[in-house]
Amino acid sequence: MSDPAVNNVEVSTRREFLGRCVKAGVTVAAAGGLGAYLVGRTGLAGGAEQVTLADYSVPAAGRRMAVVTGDNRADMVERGLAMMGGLEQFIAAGDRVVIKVNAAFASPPELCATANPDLVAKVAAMCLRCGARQVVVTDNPINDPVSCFELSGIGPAARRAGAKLVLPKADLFRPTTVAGGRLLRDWPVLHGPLDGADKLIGITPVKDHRRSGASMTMKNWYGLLGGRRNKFHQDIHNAIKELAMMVRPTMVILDGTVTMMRNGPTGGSPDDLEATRTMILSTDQVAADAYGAALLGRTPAELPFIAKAAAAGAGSADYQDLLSPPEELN
Amino acid sequence: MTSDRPRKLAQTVVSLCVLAALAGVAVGLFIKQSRFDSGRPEHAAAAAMSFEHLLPDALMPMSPPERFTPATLWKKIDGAAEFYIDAGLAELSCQRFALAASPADWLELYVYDMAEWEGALAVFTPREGATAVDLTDRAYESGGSLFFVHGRYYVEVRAAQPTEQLAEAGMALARNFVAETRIVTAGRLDPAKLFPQSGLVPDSIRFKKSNVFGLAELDNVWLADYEIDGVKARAFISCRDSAEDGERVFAAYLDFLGQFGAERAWELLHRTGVTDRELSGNYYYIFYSGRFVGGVHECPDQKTAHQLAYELHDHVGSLQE
Amino acid sequence: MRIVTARRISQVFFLVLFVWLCVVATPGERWFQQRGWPINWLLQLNPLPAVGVGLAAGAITAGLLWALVTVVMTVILGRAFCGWVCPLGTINQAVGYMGKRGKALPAKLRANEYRKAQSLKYVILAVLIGLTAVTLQTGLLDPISLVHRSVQLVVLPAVDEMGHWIWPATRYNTASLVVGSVFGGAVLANLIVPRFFCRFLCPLGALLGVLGRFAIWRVGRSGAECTNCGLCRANCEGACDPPGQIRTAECVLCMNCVDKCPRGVMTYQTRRSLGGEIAGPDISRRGVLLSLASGIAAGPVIRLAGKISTNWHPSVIRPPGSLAEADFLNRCIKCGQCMRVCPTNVLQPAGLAGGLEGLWTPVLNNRIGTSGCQLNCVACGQACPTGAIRPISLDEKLGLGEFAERGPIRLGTAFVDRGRCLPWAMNTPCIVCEENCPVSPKAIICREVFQGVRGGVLPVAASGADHVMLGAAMPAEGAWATGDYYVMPLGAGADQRRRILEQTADTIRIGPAKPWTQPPAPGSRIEVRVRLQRPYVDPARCIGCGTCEHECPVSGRRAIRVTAENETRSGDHSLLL
Repeated sequence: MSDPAVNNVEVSTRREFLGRCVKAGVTVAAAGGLGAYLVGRTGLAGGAEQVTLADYSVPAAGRRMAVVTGDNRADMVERGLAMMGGLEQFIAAGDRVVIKVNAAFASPPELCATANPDLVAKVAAMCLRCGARQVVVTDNPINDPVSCFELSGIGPAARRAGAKLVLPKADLFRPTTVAGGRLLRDWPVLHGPLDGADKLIGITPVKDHRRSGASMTMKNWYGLLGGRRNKFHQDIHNAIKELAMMVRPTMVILDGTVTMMRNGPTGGSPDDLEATRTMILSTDQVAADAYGAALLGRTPAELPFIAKAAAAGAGSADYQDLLSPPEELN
Repeated sequence: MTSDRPRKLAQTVVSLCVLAALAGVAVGLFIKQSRFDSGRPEHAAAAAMSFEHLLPDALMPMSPPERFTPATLWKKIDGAAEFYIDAGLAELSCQRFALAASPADWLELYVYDMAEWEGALAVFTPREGATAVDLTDRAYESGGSLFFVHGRYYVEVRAAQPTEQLAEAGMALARNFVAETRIVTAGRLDPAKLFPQSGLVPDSIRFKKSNVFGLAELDNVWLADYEIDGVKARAFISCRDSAEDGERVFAAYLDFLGQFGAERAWELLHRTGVTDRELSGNYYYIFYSGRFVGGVHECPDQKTAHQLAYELHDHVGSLQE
Repeated sequence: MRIVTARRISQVFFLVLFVWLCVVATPGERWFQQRGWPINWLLQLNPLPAVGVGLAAGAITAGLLWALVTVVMTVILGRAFCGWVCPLGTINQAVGYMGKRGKALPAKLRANEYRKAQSLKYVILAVLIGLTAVTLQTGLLDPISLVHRSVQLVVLPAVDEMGHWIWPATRYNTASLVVGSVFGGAVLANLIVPRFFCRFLCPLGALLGVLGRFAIWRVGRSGAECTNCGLCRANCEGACDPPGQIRTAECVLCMNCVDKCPRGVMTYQTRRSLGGEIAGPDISRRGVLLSLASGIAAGPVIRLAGKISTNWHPSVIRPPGSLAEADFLNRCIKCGQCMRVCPTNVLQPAGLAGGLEGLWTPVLNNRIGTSGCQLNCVACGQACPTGAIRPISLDEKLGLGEFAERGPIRLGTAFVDRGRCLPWAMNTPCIVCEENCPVSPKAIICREVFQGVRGGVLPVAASGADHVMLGAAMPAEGAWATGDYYVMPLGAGADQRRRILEQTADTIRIGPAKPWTQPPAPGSRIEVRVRLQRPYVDPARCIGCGTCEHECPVSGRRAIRVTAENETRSGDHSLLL
């Protein structure tokens, strides 16, 4: 005789039992599936996507160089750009322009260890006047970035001119490999501000450099490198060569108005400086550096990275054919 | 209790199942512990070159790889061992491979690690009837076997039977070796650049590691044969570690000749560093220039020796600018 | 046969197996050595590493799939692993039993009553799972890791000290006191509350408790004739209140209640317990979320200390084959197996040098053991159950064969401390480091220098072709005749330097084979110099094995020390281009 009360208990127990079986089975299946999925994955961290820096040169403008002498940087660069055929040759309306300055040290502008803020402001303003949609000023300094941009005056100058200052935040770096390079392989580079940019201008002062002999426009791109880049000092000339291979700028502006003649690249005293009153603009960074060497009292032959970069095809050290006599501005 | 016995039975059944499972685990473990690969790392083979990754599909290993040091080299190549040891042999690795298609045909790969690039060149002696092959810049083929230099290695691929398939397989093996083996090429002085071209007998540049001309101080010397206006002359150049060492070798060479009674033939000319000796009708010119020591050894014609010696001196000087 | 008998046999079986697998974990072929014994089997059966590594690293090694067996068993049967397999559980139960023996029933009831604190282990599990977002720290409290670490690195070495059966010399462990105390504490705590660790702290027990929610069979009350005698409660290992609302997640299937009940009320059944059931863990959803969130938040906070980036500690030299640090810390379960199998005893459990996360992970201490990292050995990688140390081949370690292009694995670089090195600072010949450098060509080269010695400039009283008599005090007889000392006329060039063969109170004799061209004149002075070979490390060749540091005779702070610069596993730490 079946007691309905007991039957109900048994039915509900059976239902519960089945429910438990199903849940248990699902758990087992899930565990097995997850296990199978997880086996054989490497699960290793890292491996961001590689990037290649774009070619920012303007072939239509040709290979040009202009040398201006004087004391007022803003006037000199305006004249120099006119001699280059006008900034309009290089900057089109709607362009996004990146100005890669030398802001390596938290050093005041009078010590000329960094790009001159008035020069940066002038170039930024001129780009905007040409119709550029946006002008970005950036660098990956050696000292603390915020201090560097402020103390050097570049930050305030950029903002005054209407440009946007981009600090080298960690998420803006991507690994890159220079084709034909031996040193710059899978190396983090400050790609964020360059991504989507149309033009790239390098602005840097002429400086002595204890390790490489001189720090000029090619060495300026060192400030795009991330990671523990100090390693490259072990093979500095080849490193600079590969920097020149990596970056194809629209134009470089080498400011020799006041040159740091000794104790570079930090300098630190007005005694290290000399008013060489020369500004060099060029589409060819190798030519610019070859000319700039003279301001330091050196020949290109004394700076091995120039010949190496030329041999690698980053430019040519022969600038004679490019120059009309330098124009004096007073 | 009436429910006791079925419950006790249930407990016993479950217990026995568990014990059976444990027994199964024990058996499984026992079997597992008996199966292991006696991973004696093949030290000898690990230290020697491994050729597995070089094999083309046509070849399969026929014997295990062997390794010989200078002390044991004679076991493999008998009296020829002296020759390699004098040239600075570090070790010989070799292995036999047979054709997969016809295992009766086999070849043996000899890789002589000469430690230094010059050592490999020193033992590379093209024989009569050898034809150059396009493998490395010093490679030739003779009787179906290959002989070549790659960096510090002197390699022979000796075919036991002169068949075409074996020669092809040997060439494929040699190409793989060249492609896969890393060599240091930086900083190597190209001997072809050491000697002036005019009058140079082609393919005569060779290297001798030690005891050149019987003089102990004269080691690591490049030799080249010249034929100028029908007169044969032997030139030599050695790159030393330092200018002082060059001077030392220069002096030792002069002493050496002096011991046999050689005397100065002409007055020492304006050109510093070049001097000459004459002994029993033969002329010896010697100079040192920077880190280089060189000269012309035992030439019967003074004019030829003189001209060649100064050409060598100028050439070596221009190399150092 | 009673079910508890089967349970006891099973517990003993796995405990003995565990001890045996610990004892045989010595590489070798003899019956008491590793042979084919699967020394990591219990670690692999444990689902906690599998879950932890899977979450932290996003990948697991094939061996960890053994955990599925335990998962399936738990999902179907409940926490059978805790009651029948876990060696720490067995130890805890045994000690708890001894602590309870002879006590009266009320005391036993108190010992085994459910305590709210038992929910702490679920909090711990949730925090550890939250932490896997950044780092794997389950090894700290994982019972199988704990028991392996304690037995392999502390108990066995301590016991072996008495007779040296396993190792010929003392087997050192720099964390012996801490690891031993944790183990001792866990074991002794059972005297206060039985299965203390299992009930309050064990994250594996917590995990299995969660997995066992839907167990098909479970312990429960079947008949209604319970007289509340309390015998079941008094012997309950899980403190899960069997006759009442049984807490299924706490039940470790010890079956004591089933066995002890005089009326057969308790059974192992598919139906719900008649007394009611609390199937899941005693932690609210809010508690779970809070714990999980704490774990997730703690990860980045820990990383702010910079211990795996810019503030990395150079003494953290990891075993060969280790993954880069972030990946390594996602996999290491601090089981100590690598340290156990290392033949040279150089692997030691790290303290806090590598940060909190690195506690008890393996690092090299080159002063300890028989020689740095032995060149032709890859035992640690073979022993690691989770792949934190990859099972590399000898070819890969040494950079041979297909790995010749890549070169050998480097653990770090040796640096000569010139202020302490005997030939550099103490004018004393040595070069033990260079002699013992195992790579070929050697990573230590020597440069010869002839250095003046104290009191070495002396006036000449008389001289001959092969000797000179001095007119001033000299050191004890033979002090300069060791074969390392040379004499020359003061100011003369190297060509006048001669090795001292004999030296007495007033005479120095050089070898007859190479006399002076011109003996030093009486009244002039000679100088004695010691020939020193000064070691230089070639960083391109040094693999950081630590043999040089181990052999250096400056035994306190060694005059040549390895630090982790240039280790191949970390691009960031590379030294050279």
